[in-house]
Amino acid sequence: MNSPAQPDHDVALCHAVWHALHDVPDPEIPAVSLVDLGMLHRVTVTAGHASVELLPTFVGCPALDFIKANVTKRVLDVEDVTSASVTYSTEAPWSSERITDDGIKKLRQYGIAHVNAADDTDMPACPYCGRHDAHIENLFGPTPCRMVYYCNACRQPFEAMKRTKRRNITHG
Amino acid sequence: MTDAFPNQATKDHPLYEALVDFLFQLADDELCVGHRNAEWLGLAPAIEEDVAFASIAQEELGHATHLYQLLCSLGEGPEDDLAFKRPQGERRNAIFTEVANGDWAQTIVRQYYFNVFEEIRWETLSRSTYQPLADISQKMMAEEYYHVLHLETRFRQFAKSSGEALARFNHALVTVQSSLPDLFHLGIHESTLVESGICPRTSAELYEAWRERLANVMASSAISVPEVDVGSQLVWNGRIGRHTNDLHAMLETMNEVARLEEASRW
Repeated sequence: MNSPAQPDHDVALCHAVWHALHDVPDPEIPAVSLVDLGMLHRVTVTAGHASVELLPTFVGCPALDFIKANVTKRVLDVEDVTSASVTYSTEAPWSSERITDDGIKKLRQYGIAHVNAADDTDMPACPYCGRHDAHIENLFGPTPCRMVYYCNACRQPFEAMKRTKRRNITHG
Repeated sequence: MTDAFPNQATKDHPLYEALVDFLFQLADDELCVGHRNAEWLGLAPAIEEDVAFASIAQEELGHATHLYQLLCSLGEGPEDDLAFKRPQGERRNAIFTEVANGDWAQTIVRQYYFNVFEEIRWETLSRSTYQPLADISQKMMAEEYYHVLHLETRFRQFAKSSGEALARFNHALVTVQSSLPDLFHLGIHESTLVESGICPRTSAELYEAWRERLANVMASSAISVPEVDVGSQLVWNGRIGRHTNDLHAMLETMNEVARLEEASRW
């Protein structure tokens, strides 16, 4: 957990807030929470005031305001929290590598594959049949963070989280 | 290079005017391109393209929003006003981003050129002394990667096509090139922007980097990279607010509904 060492920082309440945010689902993929997606960047609590910093998956994600409102509501429900401020930080870029192992499992059960962000050549496992034999159907999907593959083995289109790790583009 | 630019710049800071002008160049480019891409909604020649262009449009408008918010935090006014209410002469987007789409071939060529440029500009800004731009650049590049990948695929397909498609593509290469020059311009504050490190590349260096990247793609085809004389004086130059009627028409359309009831909330 990323929290600054302030003498008046309420560690116990900070943990409670962090824990509570497991309850806030992604509005477009309700199977996973914001914590599963790695969107939670920093939580600090001082004298009952909780300050939550989130990382946007995509800069132009239309769900950002909605997520912010849901997080604010949930944080204010935590016992002993009297006020809350929720902001988006650009300090560290979100990448698909931030999705937790638990998040990857839940996404797969929901029908969304995860591509290992560290490996550019990696082909995602089809969430239906598990085989690594697919081609890209569309680089763009129902939300900015997803793209569409087609499984050659079970002949089923499926979605995958976009890899958003910084990389060098090679042409030619 | 001077000292790092303070994040919370005030209007009396000597670099303020140059910084704000540059942020408007970035934001206005994104707004125009986002709008132009959105115009293909429901009209694109294939369902995949409909999804792709809608997604790209959404992302570019998201980038515009982020940049207008940055301007808003500097005290330039509410982000919606900055996007929709500024008169044409105050707009700093390149002519290249405001020109009407034309046919599908022109769209692919223009959007491909633009997205390669954007990628290079964000790469440049990852070294910006203005920290908010350096911070967001990596995120922007990660998103632009998909735009470039998609448009490059379509560009290559056009280059290998035949018949009417190839004829339209060849025509598009000529027409799109004619509006290229001001894309690389940095406006009247170029020397300040470069010396301060807000934009660590000159317009000529931005063009060279763009040219080099395209040259790699075009090496395998008979297409040559557009030659642009970046230093030439331009009749139309969006970076100094000299825009075409295409922008006027675009703004009219963009603001049509909002103008009906200015005080209404969305």
